[in-house]
Amino acid sequence: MSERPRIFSRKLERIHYILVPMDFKDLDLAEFKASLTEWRAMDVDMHVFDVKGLKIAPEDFYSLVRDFSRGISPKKIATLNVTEELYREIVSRKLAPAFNRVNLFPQDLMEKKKVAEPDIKRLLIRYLIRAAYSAVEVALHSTVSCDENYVAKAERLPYTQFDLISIIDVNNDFLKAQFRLCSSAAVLKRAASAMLGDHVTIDSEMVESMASELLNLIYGKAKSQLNDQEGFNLPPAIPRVLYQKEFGSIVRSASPDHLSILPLVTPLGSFYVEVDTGIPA
Amino acid sequence: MSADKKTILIVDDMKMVRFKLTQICSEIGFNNVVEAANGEEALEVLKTVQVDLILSDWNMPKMTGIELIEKIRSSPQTVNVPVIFITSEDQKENILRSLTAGVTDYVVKPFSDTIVKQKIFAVLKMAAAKGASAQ
Repeated sequence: MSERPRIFSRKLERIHYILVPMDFKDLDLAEFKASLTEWRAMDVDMHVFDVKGLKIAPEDFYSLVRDFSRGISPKKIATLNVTEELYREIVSRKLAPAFNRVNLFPQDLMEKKKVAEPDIKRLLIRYLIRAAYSAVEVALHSTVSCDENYVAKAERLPYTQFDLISIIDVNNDFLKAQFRLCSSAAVLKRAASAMLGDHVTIDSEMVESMASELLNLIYGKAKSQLNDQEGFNLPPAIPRVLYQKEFGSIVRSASPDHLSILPLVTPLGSFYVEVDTGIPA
Repeated sequence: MSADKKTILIVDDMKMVRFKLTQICSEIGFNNVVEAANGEEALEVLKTVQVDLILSDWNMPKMTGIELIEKIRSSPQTVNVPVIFITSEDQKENILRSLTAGVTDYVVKPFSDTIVKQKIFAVLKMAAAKGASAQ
């Protein structure tokens, strides 16, 4: 019976995670070298070495990682849980860039770009629209259109025409805003049928759940992509749903400087995503 | 693999998503499905029900999916239960957090039924092979 590999490696989505044993020995070098050759061919965005507990490594360990990093883009490697003893060895060999130590995980994993204020709104709208396309096409098996350059005016879209509004509140150092998805119950019911099948009875609880999940899909996808690709720092959030009698609690900005309304038109009906950055402190 | 003997636990705060995943499980022969609306409820279920697979969301009230999996992996009764995250959280740091916490696989929302079915089969097959080689 062959021995189990000592080096644990798993690929999930576009991340390749490698757990190096804390007692890494000379005997492990052959397995490590063979694995690195295999990993070099992987189509991933990042290889992450977790060296938790590893204080001393054989000399060849450092050169193997150095050679591995030379064969791929340096930004594709990160190393977690580096002990101070190991880091001194890495630095003494001038290999800090090759190992790309992550001091604070997960905050420091990705290099943060500086986002200019005027770009925030523009990028938010772009990515929200993309996320809406993805949500409607994949989850609802339908199509959607939204013109990125067209933003509806609040006075033409009074809340009286909607039955439910799902809301996500964002309030951190990066952004203070409210994201809203406004829809009629009829459109949400058709969306739920599209998702679950016409044979399923859609009750009011399902309609409310659809309002919540649709905003969750749109905000969630936009958030992940903006945070990863544009240097945003949007937090995770769980939507809450309001019914018409509760709409009075929403403080909706009047100025288009603060309020953007994206009309999303589908064969199931239209719904609207609002981004309001004029919320009171 | 006999689907009718397997129990799947679905953990999501959205009723719509639990319904959809139950539908998907049923379409491929997995009819023993238990639901929980958050991590706390899931842990209560796990005290009395032996499950073969957990499908869990990430962002939930009371206990997140990450907190749930950390609890699952720290209990001898559930340490080896495979967990698939089904979530809109696909930032690199979150995928890595999931990996270090012990998630088995990942499905990014919005999900296609086909992908979920493939992952369920793949993860259960892997778990069965792991169980067989341990004996």
